[in-house]
Amino acid sequence: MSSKRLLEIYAHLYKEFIYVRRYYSILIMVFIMPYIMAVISSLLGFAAYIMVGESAYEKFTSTTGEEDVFTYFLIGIGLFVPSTLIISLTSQLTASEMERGTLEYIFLSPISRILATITFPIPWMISIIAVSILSYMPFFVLKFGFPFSIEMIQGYVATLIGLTPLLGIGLLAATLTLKIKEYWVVGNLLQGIILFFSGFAYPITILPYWMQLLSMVLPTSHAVELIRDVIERHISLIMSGRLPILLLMVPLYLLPAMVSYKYVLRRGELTGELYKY
Amino acid sequence: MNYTNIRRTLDTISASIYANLKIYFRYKASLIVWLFSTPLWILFFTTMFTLFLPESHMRTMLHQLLLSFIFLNILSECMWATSSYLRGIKERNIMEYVMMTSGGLYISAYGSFARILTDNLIFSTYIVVVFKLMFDIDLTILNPIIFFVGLLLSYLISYGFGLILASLTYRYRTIGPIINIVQFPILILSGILLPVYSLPEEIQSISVFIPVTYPFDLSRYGAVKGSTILPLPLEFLVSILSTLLMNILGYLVLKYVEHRESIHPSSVM
Repeated sequence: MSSKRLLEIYAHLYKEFIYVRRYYSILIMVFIMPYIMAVISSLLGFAAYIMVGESAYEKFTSTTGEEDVFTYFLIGIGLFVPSTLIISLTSQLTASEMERGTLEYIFLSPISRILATITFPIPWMISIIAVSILSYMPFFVLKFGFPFSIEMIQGYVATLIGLTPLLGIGLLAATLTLKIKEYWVVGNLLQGIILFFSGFAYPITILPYWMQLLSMVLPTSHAVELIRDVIERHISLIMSGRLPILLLMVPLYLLPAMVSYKYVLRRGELTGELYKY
Repeated sequence: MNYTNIRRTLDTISASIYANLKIYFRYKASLIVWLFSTPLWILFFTTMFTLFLPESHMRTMLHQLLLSFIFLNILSECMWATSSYLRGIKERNIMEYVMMTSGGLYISAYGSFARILTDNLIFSTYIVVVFKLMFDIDLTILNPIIFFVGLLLSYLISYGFGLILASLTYRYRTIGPIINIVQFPILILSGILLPVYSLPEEIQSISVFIPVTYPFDLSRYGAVKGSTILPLPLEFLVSILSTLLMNILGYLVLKYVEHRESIHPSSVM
């Protein structure tokens, strides 16, 4: 790779990291929200306990196979928050540049256009994944006493691998939204689908069979199970059956996303659809 | 206040209502997507709740959850609508013009109340239909008078709370994450998400100090009876006083925002 190309990549990443720094409250949300939502979810259990007694927790254990309610929810929701943010931010970044009228300026500069637009979400993704790994740390310290045991490092790696295919889903969504004025709608719809079908807070086996089939194509369903395998079931990362599926999903989502994204950009340049004025 | 002033104030309110409703219905694709994504969110929380529920208690608890969703949307929409109203004024650089209208920021903010009511009407109707179709649960209200009085006070107190939050957040670029971080603890602590009596004692001891708790508790009592936090007449009184207090505070903080903006207008970007 030439030094000029490296400089281009650096320039884009630097620009987006400045945005990340400017909108830092999103990262605070990534850190705090899993705990808030895990507390809410655990309180649902407590409310059920107040009303129906010990059978509430017995039913939970028999359905999920887990006894620790808070841990169960935190692991799942800890993945949900960054997942939805990666998808919605990736799907919206190019369209928001279009809306601001800054996409033309980027295209006028002497750099690769596809490289420019694909690098938009990378700093966000790196920051969100880093903060979600950090947000797991206090919980790991409380539960295991130290944040860097072999199991926990495997948990961090599992989080990283589990969230990477979402970049592809986000880019695919971006290609659908470039020409829509309300460019955020596809991201919002995907958030709902991923939330319900991924099994963040319940095992997907309790859903009807056709829903389970749909959840199998979502990387998040496998990612949450991979982390549960490592942290709760003490299965090594390499031994988990979810790992090869997720590794396969990275190119499976990313390659078509990049191809379709490139096509939409080229077509947009010819027709002028990508320009604000 | 003379007749001309009253007419000008009413003109400001009606213009603000018109603008807010026009913006609300402008985003049709968002409304359509919302129709599909809302049931998924409801199903997510309901499925999570059913992890703990034996079949014998399912219907009672789902009815409580239906009420929670309706209440949740009231507070949430009040926070979002008022905060995005004030932030929108700031971002579009029209603060000066709005402050020059008859009644200023506070009166023109009433338009966002119209948006809140519209959104809640659509959401509540939709959610009742979704619960009926998905779980065969009807919204039953045992004492409509108490329920609707409680609901009215809940709207007003949430609006006052929204104004206070809006005045604290309108200078920040990303209000979304801030509102999310604030709203979830409030939803738990005030008994909106789950009835106060079903919360752990430590949380209950905080709930009683939150003004928003009482009108919602009153409304929930009107729907399903059960118990109130305070004796019923006292709960009425505390709900009314809390609502008044929150709205007076809301008025004062918006006046302070006007004062601050007229002396030190902050930059937008």
